[in-house]
Amino acid sequence: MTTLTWRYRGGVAARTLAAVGGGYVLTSIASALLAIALPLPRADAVSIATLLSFVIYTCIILWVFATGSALRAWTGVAASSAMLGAVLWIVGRMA
Amino acid sequence: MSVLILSSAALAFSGFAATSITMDRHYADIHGRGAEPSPSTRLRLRTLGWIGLALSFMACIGASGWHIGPVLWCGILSLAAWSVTLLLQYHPRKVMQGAWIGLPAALLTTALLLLR
Amino acid sequence: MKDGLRQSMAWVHTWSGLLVCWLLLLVFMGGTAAYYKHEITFWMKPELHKAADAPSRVTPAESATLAVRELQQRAPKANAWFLDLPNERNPLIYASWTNPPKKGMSREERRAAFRTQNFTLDPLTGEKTAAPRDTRGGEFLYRLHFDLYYMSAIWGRWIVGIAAMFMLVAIVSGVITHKRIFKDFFTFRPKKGQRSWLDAHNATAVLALPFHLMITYTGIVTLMFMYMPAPTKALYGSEQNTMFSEVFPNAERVKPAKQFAPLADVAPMLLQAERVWGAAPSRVVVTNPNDANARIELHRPAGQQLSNIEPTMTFDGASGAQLSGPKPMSTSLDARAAIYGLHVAHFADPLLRALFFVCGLAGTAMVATGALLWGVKERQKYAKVVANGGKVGFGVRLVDALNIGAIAGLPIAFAAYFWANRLLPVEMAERTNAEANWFFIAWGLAALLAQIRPTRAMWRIQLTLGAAMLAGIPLLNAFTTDTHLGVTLFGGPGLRPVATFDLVVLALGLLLGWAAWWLGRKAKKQAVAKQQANPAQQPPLEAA
Repeated sequence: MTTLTWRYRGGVAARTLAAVGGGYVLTSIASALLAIALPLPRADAVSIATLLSFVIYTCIILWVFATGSALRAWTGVAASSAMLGAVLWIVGRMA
Repeated sequence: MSVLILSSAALAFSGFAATSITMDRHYADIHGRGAEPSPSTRLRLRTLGWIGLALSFMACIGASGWHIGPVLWCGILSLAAWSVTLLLQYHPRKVMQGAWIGLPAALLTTALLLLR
Repeated sequence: MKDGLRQSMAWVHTWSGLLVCWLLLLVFMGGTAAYYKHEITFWMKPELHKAADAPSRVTPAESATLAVRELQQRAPKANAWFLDLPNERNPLIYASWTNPPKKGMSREERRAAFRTQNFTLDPLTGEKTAAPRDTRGGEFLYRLHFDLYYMSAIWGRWIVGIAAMFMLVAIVSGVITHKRIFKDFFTFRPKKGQRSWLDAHNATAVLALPFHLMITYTGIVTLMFMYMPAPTKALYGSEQNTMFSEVFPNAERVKPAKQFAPLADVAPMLLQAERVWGAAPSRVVVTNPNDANARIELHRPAGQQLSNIEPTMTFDGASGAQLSGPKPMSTSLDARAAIYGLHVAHFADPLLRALFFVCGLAGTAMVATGALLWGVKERQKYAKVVANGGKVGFGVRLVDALNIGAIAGLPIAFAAYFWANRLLPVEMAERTNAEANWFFIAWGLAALLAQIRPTRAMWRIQLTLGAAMLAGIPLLNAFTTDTHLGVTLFGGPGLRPVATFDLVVLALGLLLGWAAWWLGRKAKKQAVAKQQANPAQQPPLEAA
């Protein structure tokens, strides 16, 4: 059993934030991009993307806690959010 | 319609009963500690078990269509699985005996489905 | 959190489950009850029972005509009428209407107005039934499980939605971490302490896994646009209304022309629908009655499809001519509606509905056994401390108390709600609020007492109280109404829901009673074992 050091608690807190908060941001960006990318009428795309978003969110949360370290978790979520966020911004400007 | 549903339930029970018996732990529940099913028994019972479950699915489709049928099947599977689980704990022999109901149920189901 | 996927998923499963399990118990119990919300409401309005007893020999077309006649008298200027025609679950004619809200009305006034804008008709006589007591019936339990209470609906929905996400994560992580999911499939070994709780948790969870996964995911989907607005923002910007009108293409209401036109006869419309569908419409919605732009929309009865959006047949309310059918929905929109429909299960016939109910109970048991398992496991870490006269840690005590308050306390709350329905004076003001308050008063007391004394004795007291209150409801019914089991078991099909309610609460009460008894036996056995062990035990050595 891991002793409850402050380092451990810090790790848990960091991962929780990455999963719940960062995960929500990343999911929002990813599902927004998905909605835009789907070659369907708007109503269909928004429905499918929103439906899938909760699957995406669940996967992100599980990955954050499964991955090797809290740092990796944050890096992964932050980098993906930044990258996809940039794509989303560019697409938004192009439209 | 409800005959098909009853058949589906019987088939699900029988299917789960058959597959559960092939598991070492539950074979031992029935036949005594350390007993293990022979490979041929295992294969036979597993095949029959899965056929029973597949027929159970078809019976639900026959009863309620392709949309609601699968939903109904999931509910029937849960009930059947719980029944087998409790029986294996409290009356293990009855699992083996009860599994036989799959045969008449299979015949009935096939007949009913072919007749539509 | 550590090495190995299984270990990290075990950690996630424990915490995502534990942090919300007591709220989830409320959600599961309320939601499971909600599958029978119509029957519960009917049970809670005994004044309606007499009218429902006589078999209805009135056709749906006649029922609709009766209702329209009454509505013309009571609400000719309403902006919409809603008629629910008699069926197996509802033997009476229910009609309600909405008026355009008067300027300056507060939300409370509007709600109060809406709740009085309805009546019930006896289909046999066409007369209004005796006025039922003011109660929200099963609707309260239904709303409770996603709106919560004593807070704005938005807050409740966010809290429940977050809890549902926790639950979804708990389910998936639980499956990943369950190493022997196939080997343990049929395994249940009672009387083995922690192992037995784990087996119970596995059996209630894994053997109804499709249901649990479905109900959790679809639950989130019911409010998905609120929880995840990003795709909508991306494709529609701030025009959310446009999104709704495109995703729900048949929900539009035509505006009134403000020009009088007598309403066409609905009876032939119902007959036509029955010819086309092979079954009479279940619901009739009249928009802008007595207006040139009146519309009469007939809804096909549920049971043929998963989607909760039933096909409709619309007629011009002034001319009576049938208008073009509903806009067809694309596969994606149908899929969304089917996913939503799976959660509310309108399509479920009595057998399937009973299966949903049983699986809902299993879900409740899954959450409960999970929470209990954590307590048992954690308590073992304090075994030595307790043996030496010490106390368990704060976490264990808190979880024990919360477990009692929720697992044993919630049934008491449900029972209190039904007892309040029978015992509160019929004519009292704010009756619906009072009934709801009694739910929470009972729950609050149970939870408070549990916090003060989270002991096994408290478990038995609360389980016994819950058992007595639930199993006592049929008796209460006999003392407070004419439609008790002695009557309803032998009455017409219209009273069957009342009999079933009595029998189900009786069964649940007996189940709780058995649990209380079992706990008592266990305590006796442990006490006996302790006594026998004591003479043989050497005085404990000084702890190192």
